[in-house]
Amino acid sequence: MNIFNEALLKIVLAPKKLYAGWGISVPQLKSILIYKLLMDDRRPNSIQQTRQRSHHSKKEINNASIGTILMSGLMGIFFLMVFRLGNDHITHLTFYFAMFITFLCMILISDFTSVLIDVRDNYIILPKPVNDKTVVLARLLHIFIHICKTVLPMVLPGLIYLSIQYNGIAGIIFFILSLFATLFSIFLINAVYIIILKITTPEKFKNIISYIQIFFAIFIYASYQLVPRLIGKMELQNFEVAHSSWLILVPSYWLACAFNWVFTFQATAIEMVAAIIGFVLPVASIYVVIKYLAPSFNQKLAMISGSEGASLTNRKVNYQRTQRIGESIAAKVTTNEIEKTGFLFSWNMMSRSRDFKVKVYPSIGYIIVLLVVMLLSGNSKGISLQDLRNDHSKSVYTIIIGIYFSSILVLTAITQMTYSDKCKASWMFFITPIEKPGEIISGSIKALLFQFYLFIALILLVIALVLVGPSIIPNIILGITNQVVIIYLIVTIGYKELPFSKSLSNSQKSGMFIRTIFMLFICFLIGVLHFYIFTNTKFIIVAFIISVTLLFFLANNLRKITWKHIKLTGDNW
Amino acid sequence: MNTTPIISIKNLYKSYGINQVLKGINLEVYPGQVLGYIGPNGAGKSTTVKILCGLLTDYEGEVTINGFDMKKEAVSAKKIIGYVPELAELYDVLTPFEYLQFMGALYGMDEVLCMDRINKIMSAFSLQDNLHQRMDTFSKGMRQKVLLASGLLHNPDIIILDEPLSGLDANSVIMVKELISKLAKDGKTIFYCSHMMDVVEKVSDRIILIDKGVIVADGSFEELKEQQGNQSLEQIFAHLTSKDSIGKAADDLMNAFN
Repeated sequence: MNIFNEALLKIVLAPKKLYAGWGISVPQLKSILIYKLLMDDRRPNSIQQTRQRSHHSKKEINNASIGTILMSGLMGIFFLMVFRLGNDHITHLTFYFAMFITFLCMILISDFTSVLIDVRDNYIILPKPVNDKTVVLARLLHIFIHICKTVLPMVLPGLIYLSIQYNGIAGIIFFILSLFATLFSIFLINAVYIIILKITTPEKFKNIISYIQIFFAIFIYASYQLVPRLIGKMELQNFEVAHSSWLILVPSYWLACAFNWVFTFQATAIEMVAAIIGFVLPVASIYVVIKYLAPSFNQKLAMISGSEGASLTNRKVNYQRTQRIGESIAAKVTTNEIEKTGFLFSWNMMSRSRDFKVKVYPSIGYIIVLLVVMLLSGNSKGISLQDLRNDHSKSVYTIIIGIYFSSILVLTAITQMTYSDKCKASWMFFITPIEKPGEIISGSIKALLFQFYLFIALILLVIALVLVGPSIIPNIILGITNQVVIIYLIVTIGYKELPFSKSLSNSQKSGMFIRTIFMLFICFLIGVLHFYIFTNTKFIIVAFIISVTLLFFLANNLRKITWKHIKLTGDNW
Repeated sequence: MNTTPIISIKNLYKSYGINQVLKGINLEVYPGQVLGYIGPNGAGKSTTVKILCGLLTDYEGEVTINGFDMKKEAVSAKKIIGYVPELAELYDVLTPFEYLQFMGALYGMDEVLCMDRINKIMSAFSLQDNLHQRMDTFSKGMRQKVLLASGLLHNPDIIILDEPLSGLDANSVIMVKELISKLAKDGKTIFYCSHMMDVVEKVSDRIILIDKGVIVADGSFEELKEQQGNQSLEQIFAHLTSKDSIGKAADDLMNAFN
């Protein structure tokens, strides 16, 4: 238990007499909260979850909440940028609260799921002699503490800034309005949850949450990379929120107007209306949450935890489509039954495993963001397609870097493909009479290529064609072939593992880091070599032939892997 | 009875680090036998099973399956073994059909034959309606049925069952018990590993009791009764595997409340 949790716990438990008067058992309440917070501390938060690479995940998480607090604080500092936009309070705060609400919603949505939907409550707390009021209050206070840990550090930098820039009163008004914004965010999240739960099944709900997490990770990364650059570029210093009438629809505008009105006592009619909405709406919305949304919400939540078997019969699968795509590709690219089996297995597992998606898909986003950043960074004044077309070498350079950067992504995917939370299920590979496990590995690498890398390659190709035109095609082909060689090289050197067969918790291996660095170095080296020859078509053709030969060699070699190469430690069982 | 053993274990030792789990197991199993393999927690049952089906390879001693050495000719040995693991560990984002098809392919089965068998076996387990659903919503019993199916799919000569009845409903239990005796009549060898004494007592025609890595009793239930006095298997088990009386342990437990 860290100092923040302890302090917050003391605060929420202060009105002991009041709780006792409500018929709540304070000792039980306290112990439930203590253990809930303890468990929170050992569970990675959303950012750690998605950005975590498998090889550091063994590290026991003990103070996840300190991580959350630091992240939120950093975000709060990051928000301060808006005070460079424009000159008036309304402009500043409209942007500030817009970012605040967006980020808060996203953090809450992804972090909340684990807090709210804790199925174990049903088994652990419900059978014990704890009354309903205690359970409900414990849940509410837990959520409150959780929100405090996110909101307070996020608000703090803004509070300090405003207090110094203007005075303490500005700070206090700002703080109160931030709490209003928090209330409003809670309302939004509740609404989103209810809507998602209305239109889909609880199982899919979890999937949607993981997609939100993926998006969230990319979004944060993109904003850290892009927003400062954009602000630096465009002359936003003199920018002012136009007093157009549509702004009245924007929640953060209401809050900004509210601040302006209370702080300066000046406002136009529209601003006054907005400010009044800003005061009334959060209160009204939280009333709606308590009165209408929360009850049905809890019902729905109970459904999530009790979803087992509930909708069994009507969940007839219609993945036949993806399955068929997989099968037809497999029929073309695999040479024997075992390899095909490995292909189909990995194909299905990748397309359905939530874990794999959450860990791998964000990296696609990172690459795209990186490409955009690189395009932006060189040119000092804005960019246009025309500039890029004219500045041939610069865009080719960007594209080549893009191709070789995707190695990082592929490395993530390959690593991730060997892990599974169902790793124990890999007994099936070891009890069946497989002569060469290399065939299975080869099949799964092909599945990875076709399901995952093909997509990236296409994106790169499209970007390249748009930026440079058809003249880049030889380079792209060479780049992608090299990339496939790199994939096989990575597998041959480092990951001779059966797909989805290793435990995530045992994933830290000594030397893994060095190996990763070594592999990235190889990618870098090949990239540099490519960069030196990209203007010379003859060299490109020669390089292409070498690359393809190497590819055939590596691919054949991979299929010959025997059981001796696969470490059978028995840790799994 | 056939005189060449189909499973032969000689001087089997296995350690995890400094912890020696198997301390010289010698065992020969003949075709058509239903072998009940019992022992207290941590006796080495699961370890033996894992060695037999090729999950653990770093053991000392000799294990041969139908004449194939488990270390040198594991692939040939594995072909004739069907294994039903203890915990319902399977890739549950797959459907039973996909999972079983996958298993069949790993055994090198003909695709048409495999599909036909999947349909037949799953219908027999009354899971035909769930054939194309992901297994993540399946109950423990349903998963267990899929695992049983995966162990029988390739029509193996030896079937190794590790607590095969866990999670199954009463009807399925009766069905599996009958299935075991029918398979044995058909000449299959069954290696049945369990904690449920009453079931072992009924299904097996030879019982092996191991404790702390060594075999402490070997024989049919009748033979064991002769040696140990006319007791139930449960009592024989308790008598052979616990030094202090179990009654005393229960007393100690009760004393904890005083």
